[in-house]
Amino acid sequence: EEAQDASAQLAGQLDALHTLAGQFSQSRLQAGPSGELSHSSGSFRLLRPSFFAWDIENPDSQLVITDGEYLWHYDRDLETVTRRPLRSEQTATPLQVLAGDRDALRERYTVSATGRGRFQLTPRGEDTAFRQLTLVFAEGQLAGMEILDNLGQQLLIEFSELSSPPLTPEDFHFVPPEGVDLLYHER
Amino acid sequence: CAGTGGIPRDSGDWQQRESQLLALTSWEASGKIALRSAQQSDSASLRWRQDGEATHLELSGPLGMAATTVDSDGEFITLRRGDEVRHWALDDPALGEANQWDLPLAALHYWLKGVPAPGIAVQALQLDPATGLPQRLEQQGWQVDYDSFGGFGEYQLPTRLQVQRADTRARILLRQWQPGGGS
Repeated sequence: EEAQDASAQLAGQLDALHTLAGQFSQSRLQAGPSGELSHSSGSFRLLRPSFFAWDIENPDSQLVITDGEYLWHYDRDLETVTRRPLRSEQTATPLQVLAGDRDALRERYTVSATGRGRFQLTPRGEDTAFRQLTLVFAEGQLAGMEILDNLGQQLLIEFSELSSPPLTPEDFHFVPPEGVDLLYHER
Repeated sequence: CAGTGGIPRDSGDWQQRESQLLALTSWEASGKIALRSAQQSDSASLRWRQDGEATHLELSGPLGMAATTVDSDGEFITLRRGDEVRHWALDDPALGEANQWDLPLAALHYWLKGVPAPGIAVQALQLDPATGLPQRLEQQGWQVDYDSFGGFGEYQLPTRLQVQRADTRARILLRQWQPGGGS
């Protein structure tokens, strides 16, 4: 039926994407009266099926990276590194959808096509990291993401300067720098 | 660095600074927080809105992960994360054990401005002799260390501080202050 097609269609688009790298610009629309916008930007790269790096360079400095086993979150300004196993629900970040394989996609999300090149994913699980995600493709290439977080706040992410460089797992190896505060979680 | 136990006598400008900041009852600040406690440790971006005794605090990780709000009217505290909503009295000891929120919210919103919480004993207050701004403050067994300040309107407000007691420690960066509240 239709939902199945959308999921298969999305999986097809994602399968064509083995590696991806580029710049991102993220705008957060605050829920509530002020609705004031906060903005951040940086660079990202991903190697399917389970490696990605999201490097926020402005206005602050943070790195979210998976090495296939863990999800690391290094906050350079706060000098802390948080680590969680990749498998736990809590780490089902939107980027794992991009990096995830066909079965993980169908098993974890209901997918519906909501317009030309727009796929809306709603997590099936309970305590997930976000409420809804829309992937936006233009001319068959990933153009952006829209994330509805657990508080109903909208995050609009635009990608630019996209390329498909040759990447290997070593490009996603992460070792916490000396002296940072290690905040490790077992699940 | 035991310094003076009470508030230094000779600093007229400290009294003036303190009353200026105590009069600032509505403000907004945004930045980041790294919280480390026995039960829970994480870092998140932070948006804090204060109106008198009412606090509205938004926490979220990169890519909107694990977005959480903390609301308090000075008496009760409500934590919302997704559709999970939890509610406590601020002085309920279970709040700490339930590893939901370890920081003393009622006092914290004064410490963030760089002043002691009124009505509670000040165990230590150390000022930077050059600037008259606080370097360390101790209340309720909590130690607050101020690393940097910034100018925002007519106010000098903390931009990096650390709040610590036993094995609970919060490192807070405040990039943007809006004295008098955003909207």
